[in-house]
Amino acid sequence: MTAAARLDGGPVDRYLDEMFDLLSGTGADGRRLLTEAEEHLAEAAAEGRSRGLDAEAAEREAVQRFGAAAAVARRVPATAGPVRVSLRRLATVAWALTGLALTWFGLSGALTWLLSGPWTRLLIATDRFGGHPMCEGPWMPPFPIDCVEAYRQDVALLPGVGNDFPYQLVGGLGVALVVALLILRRITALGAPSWTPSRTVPGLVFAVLFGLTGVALLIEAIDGVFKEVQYYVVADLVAGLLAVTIGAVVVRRSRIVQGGQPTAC
Amino acid sequence: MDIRGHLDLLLLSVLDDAGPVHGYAVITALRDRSDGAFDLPEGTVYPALQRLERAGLVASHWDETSARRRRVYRLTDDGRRARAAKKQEWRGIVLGVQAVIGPMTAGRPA
Repeated sequence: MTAAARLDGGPVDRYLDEMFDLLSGTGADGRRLLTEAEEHLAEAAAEGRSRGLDAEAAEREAVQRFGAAAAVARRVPATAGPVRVSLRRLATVAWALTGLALTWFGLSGALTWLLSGPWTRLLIATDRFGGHPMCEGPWMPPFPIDCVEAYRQDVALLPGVGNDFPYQLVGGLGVALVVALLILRRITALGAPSWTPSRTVPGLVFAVLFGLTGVALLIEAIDGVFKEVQYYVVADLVAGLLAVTIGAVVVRRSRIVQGGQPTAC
Repeated sequence: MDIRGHLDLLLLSVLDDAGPVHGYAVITALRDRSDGAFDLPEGTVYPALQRLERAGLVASHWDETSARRRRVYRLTDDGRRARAAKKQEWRGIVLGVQAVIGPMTAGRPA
């Protein structure tokens, strides 16, 4: 089968168009892959037709066996150099980091708010309210629910922000940004190597900063326990553990694989 | 069967045994010789061949003599040595795993 025998606008044509977009910024390697893909698909479709498939079915089968265009294209390294490629990668990094940071901040606040009730009851049960004005020990509160609610109003979710901050909204926005990026990278040119930063450098910088933030928050939480200023302990514990977890996951995903070739995020 | 991490050895072996061949023939040989055991997106073989070429294990050139323009791949001397080393490494893994799970009998571990 020659390229001319391809169905106009058929599965192979559409696949090659998609791959052309995805290979933007990959230079000679990308052009070579596109040529090889075209020849491969032509040969595979011809083989399918020789087995009795109609042209459309043969092309569909050839494309299916070749694999998702994004999965194939992301294995071709982008050519270094052009400012445009650097800006694209920077945009991807900014998108991913913004999504992760918002997710962390929003989830930390929302989880802290959810945990502040049980946390307050634990403090009451263990008589560890310390100097809280409403709850001096030994503690036998006449209106325990009021005290719990009052304490929750004082829970500092994250430094500098009150508990009327729309944490769920921020967390939801962060998750939406991360999920949207993952989906778009699968189905659009955002999955192309020219949009894909090396995992190693920005990933490790982000992971180290996030991990250190988490460790600092955990230290502050432990310090708070000893100083009996528990109003920020739960917030620090939640935010610190989330930050350390996110940092660890990013470090793990930033490993260099396949003989030193960084893979796509 | 997931062959991530072992694709290099498979490609080097096919090229060593089949001699200079184009990508489609490499994929066909891989499928035929494995009796279809590997569920491999065929398109991923081309970037893998390019990667092996950048590593100096494979060399290639365009073949313009046939009706279709094809890239023909062949193993280099370094590729042959890498194949031997990877093969040895793989045999070590197989022996180690078999020592743990027991020898294969009638298609399943004894």
